[in-house]
Amino acid sequence: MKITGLQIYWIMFAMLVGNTLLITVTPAIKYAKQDMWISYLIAGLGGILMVFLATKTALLYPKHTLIEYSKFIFGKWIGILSAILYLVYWYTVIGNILGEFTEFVNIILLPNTPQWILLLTILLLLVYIAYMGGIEGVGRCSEVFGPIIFMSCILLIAFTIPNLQWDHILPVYADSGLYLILRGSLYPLSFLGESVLMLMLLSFMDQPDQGTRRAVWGVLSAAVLINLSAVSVIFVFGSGVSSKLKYPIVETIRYINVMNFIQNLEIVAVLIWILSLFIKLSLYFVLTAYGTAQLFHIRDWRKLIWVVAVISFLLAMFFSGSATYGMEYIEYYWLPVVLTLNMAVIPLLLWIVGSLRKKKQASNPSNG
Amino acid sequence: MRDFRKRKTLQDLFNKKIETLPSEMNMNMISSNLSETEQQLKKLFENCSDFVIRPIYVMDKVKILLLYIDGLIDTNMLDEVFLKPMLFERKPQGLEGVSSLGQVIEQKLIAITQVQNVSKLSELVDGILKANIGVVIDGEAKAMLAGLPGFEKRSIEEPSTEVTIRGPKEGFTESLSTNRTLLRRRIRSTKLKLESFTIGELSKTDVVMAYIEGIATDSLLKEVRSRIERIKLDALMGSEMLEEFIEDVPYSPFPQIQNTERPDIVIANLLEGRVGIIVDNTPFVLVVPMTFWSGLQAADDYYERFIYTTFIRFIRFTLFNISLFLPSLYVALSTFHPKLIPTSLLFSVAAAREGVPFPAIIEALMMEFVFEGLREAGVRLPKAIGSAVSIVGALVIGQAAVQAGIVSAPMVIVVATTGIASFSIPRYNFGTSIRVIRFIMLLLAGIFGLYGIVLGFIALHIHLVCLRSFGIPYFSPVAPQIPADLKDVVVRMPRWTLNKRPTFLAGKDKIRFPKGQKRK
Amino acid sequence: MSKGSIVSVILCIQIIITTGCWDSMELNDRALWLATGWDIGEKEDEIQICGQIVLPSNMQSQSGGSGGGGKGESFIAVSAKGKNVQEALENQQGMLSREAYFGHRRVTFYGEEFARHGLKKEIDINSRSPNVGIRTDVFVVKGDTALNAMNQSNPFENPPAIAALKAHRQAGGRGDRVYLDLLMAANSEGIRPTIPTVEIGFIQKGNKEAKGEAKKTILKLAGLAVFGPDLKLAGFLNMDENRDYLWVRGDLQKKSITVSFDDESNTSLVLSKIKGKIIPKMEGNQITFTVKLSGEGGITENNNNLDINMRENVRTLEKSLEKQTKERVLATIHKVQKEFGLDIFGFGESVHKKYPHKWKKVKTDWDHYFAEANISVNVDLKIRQIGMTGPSLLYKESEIKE
Repeated sequence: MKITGLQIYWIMFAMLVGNTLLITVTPAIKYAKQDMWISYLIAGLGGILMVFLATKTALLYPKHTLIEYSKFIFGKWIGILSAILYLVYWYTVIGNILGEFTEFVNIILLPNTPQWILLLTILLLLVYIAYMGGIEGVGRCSEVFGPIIFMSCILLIAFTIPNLQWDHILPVYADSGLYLILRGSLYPLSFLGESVLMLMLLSFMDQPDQGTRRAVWGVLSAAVLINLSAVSVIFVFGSGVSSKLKYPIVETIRYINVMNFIQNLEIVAVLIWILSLFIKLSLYFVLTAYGTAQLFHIRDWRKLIWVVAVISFLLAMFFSGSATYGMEYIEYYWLPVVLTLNMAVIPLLLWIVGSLRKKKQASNPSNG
Repeated sequence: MRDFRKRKTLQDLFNKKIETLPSEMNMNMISSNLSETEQQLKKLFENCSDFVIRPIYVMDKVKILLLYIDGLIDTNMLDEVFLKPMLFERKPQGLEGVSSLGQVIEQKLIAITQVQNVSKLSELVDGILKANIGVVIDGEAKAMLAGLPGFEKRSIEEPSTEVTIRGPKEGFTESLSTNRTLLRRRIRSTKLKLESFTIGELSKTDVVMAYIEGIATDSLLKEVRSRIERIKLDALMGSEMLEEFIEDVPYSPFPQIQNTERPDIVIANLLEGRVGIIVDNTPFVLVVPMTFWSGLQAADDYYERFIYTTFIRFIRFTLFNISLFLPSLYVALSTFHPKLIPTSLLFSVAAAREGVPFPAIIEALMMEFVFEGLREAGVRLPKAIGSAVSIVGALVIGQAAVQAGIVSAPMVIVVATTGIASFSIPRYNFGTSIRVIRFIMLLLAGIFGLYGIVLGFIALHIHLVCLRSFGIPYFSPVAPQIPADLKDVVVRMPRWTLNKRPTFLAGKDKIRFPKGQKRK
Repeated sequence: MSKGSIVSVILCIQIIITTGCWDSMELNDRALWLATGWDIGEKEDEIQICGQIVLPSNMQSQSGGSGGGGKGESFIAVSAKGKNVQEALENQQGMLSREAYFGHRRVTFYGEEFARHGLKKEIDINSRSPNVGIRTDVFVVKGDTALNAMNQSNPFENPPAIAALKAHRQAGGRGDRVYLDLLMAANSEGIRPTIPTVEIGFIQKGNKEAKGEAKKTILKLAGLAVFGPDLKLAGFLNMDENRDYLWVRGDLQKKSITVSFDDESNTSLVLSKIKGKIIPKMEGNQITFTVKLSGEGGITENNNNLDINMRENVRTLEKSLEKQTKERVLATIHKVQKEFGLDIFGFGESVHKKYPHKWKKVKTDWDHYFAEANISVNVDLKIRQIGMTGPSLLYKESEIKE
């Protein structure tokens, strides 16, 4: 299964835009108030750094995935431990995203449909793409969906322009402080940091040296678009109202009214969001099945698709059972563990130890 | 397990069937005894009333048998050039003996056509069935075949399914040689290769694979050859049948093999690195591999000005989407998400729907069904009545039903628009796939609303993106994206910019013409 | 897995899915709810919700010609009581054969009594429900209940709920941004909420002998309602004061200014480009405000004998217009300061934006500061066009003043 550089770009772009915009705006505004644009700038830079780090790490062993080369770099047992850390992150995040997906579709689109039916439909699609196309399928689909998402975002931003009131962003930096801004930036940073999946994706590329450039561009485009959209929330609603809304982006889009004809566009926005979420979920799905197969040395990773599907179903039912589990997951597991360990510390360690090891091997060829 | 065994026995039956074809075919050699040969041939062609066997006495001494199928042979040519001189032949000077009679006859025949010498009876019979005359000479254990085809065939007409405003109006016919010639006239180079195969035990249909050496990749050629050669059939009726046997995924609603009646389209595709497959007795030539975007391209796109055709391509693409999604969008919006419809429009729709007894989804299914039925019925009617029926159908079903309050006016508008939009798809086999998918979308929309449409959209794309046609991904060059090739997909850039062949198809010869040809 | 079991599994799934399309509801099973009204109920702690619902069968367009081209009204107003909106809606559903659908609700009315009672504890559902958006136009019904407002029909708009919205926009107001302003003001210390008002009045004013058609009433715009920090109605401003308020806020779209002269003549200027800005200035510990208003427009009516082709005359007019506007706006601001003591203009917000540290000190008692604040107004008007004639055509050559 091979993917091209352009597909990496679109994968990164498509998967980051949707969920980041939906979920991270409220906490960011809650902490940073109208300076959240600074938070988002910081998060954007941080995201680019993270993906850069992840790609550089993966370039140490371009033909192997994370599961494999963490064993090379750290040794067998610590390698397996770090691989398991990532696998736990992937399994739970799939469950979380699926749960939150069904909840959201339930609220906005289909209030009376039972949640497990919605879950089942999206799981069927995920199994379908994992089975038929694997990573290649995900890459190609993102090449089709990515431009659609891009165009729609631009269009929606263009429609929002009449609603913007520029002075809502004042006063700058006075109502919050550095700590609050940083705290607010943790949320978009952790979501943009999902691009750390490059650790696994690079091994599928047919031209791995293109990986850094494409991935960074992808995260950059996503960050710019996210910035523009998130900032427009402040411009439309001001910080007081939007920090209390659960999904401020939806409200901003719902506020669009062009010529008294085009209105209630939040439904269209939800459809675009479903596309973006699908790319993210299918990517996680395929990589989880593949990674699990590699960890347990199973030859055909396709058999594990059903395993991942069942586990995700159960986790998602658990998550969608309560209205607050999603937020708790973010506060207690996602931010402290995933952001620090999986996205920052482990890649850094992998890179440092890995490059040192490579240097040692280069200077001591007899040691092999 | 059970299936596997069943399949095996069917295969055995099939093989056995082939083996039990007239065993006389296994008799190899032609005997020098003419009457014995005559007996064998009469037995083989027993009850074939169009078989003619004419004994001729040359120089009142030597008997030869003239064998042919009446209707396949150009009898004028036969009479003029061969028979009359043969019957009144005097023994030529310098030629003695019976053994040289074969040579004399061969000389005579060579003047008018290609001559082949055969020694097997099966070959003689095959040759006669393929519009050759057979000449068997008493005393010689061989026969001669001379090709004199003179059967009725359709003359070259404008293709009925693909009409262009501008551009050549020649279309393929059922005769393989005419079709081959149509291609050869356009590419006057030895690089145009026309490989021949024979498929079908009973039909022995000629199949010709056309490609341009150097442009088509070797792997593609190998793949096409192997797929054609592996087929064992009793009779190959036409290119449609061949298509089903060599397709990648026959279960997919989308065609992976293109078929066309126009030689200019085939030539254009050959120049891009594709392979054409001509089948005898079919005016439709297959072009392989196919991408999704070829389904949306028409020949006229390349004959008109590029600004106009770019615009038309956008419209066609939009109409394609409309024909796929409009009924389902209508059902989804009016039943699940009315707030997406602008308020004043909603009032009109709601007012129109008052008193209609059916739920929107049932109404949509009904109307779509009726429309498809009308369409199907209209195909079979002679041209004179066809248009009248469509008017009556529209009036009766549309107007009266609305007035009676059985269906709502917006529904009729939606169905009519969808129908018109689906007529804009240039490739017929592509259009048919949309019709089926539209129904599935309608069902999904009826159950899940817009979410269902998104699900259908995603599922459709997964299918399209993972589909391959002879090794080429079906959705190239949009996915996997090759920006250089996008110049000809949804827009049509001016001709002088299309100087490279599509990257995903071309073999060694990648450049059409040098850059910079625009007139300055 | 053999083929048979796959097929049976798919069939089972299909059966489960197709047994019910849980969310689909035919359009004629929905009651399209266009406007909501809030009133006080009879008991303590009770409110009355009323709504305007469309009757689609009476809304047939001209052609089509099917039987029901009825002469009835195209809408119906219903009402019910309950502790809060949800309860009231439940009580109301019993008489509605269709499920109420709020996706197209664009206007809200608050009865005057209800507004006096206070909005804070009553209108949360507007933002919480996923079906309605923040983009709604809001009105306080002056001197009447929302239910009566719901019952008013409108000769132009069918159904009439949109009429108030459109009239508001035509008058140059905020249109359906009102609710957002309300929410932002409720969330902020530096500005107090306001809601435009409507009242029920006769179409033909002053026609006391009116009978039949001419006796019809209609909703008309009537100015502004001012609310205090606890979202209780504090008082009213009339239409002119409303326009001044909008001008200071920078939200005004249309305005015409009429200035009269000593000789009983008057001139009108219609502004098209209107801007308003508040500039706070800190001197030591004192904050003073300058309100900068500007506008550009054309003269539409000049009932005196000035030849406004001449630059001098134009300047004179501009000066008179500016002077008059300044006085009026200042009067409005002073009225608000003295009578209500509520900063509806957003002076506090401007301090917040420009001097955020000072703002932290004064924000708790801002209304007090506002009532005492020193506010000055600068008006800058420019006459860009003078219409189709120079001097008025109705004066003789000799009377024209150069």
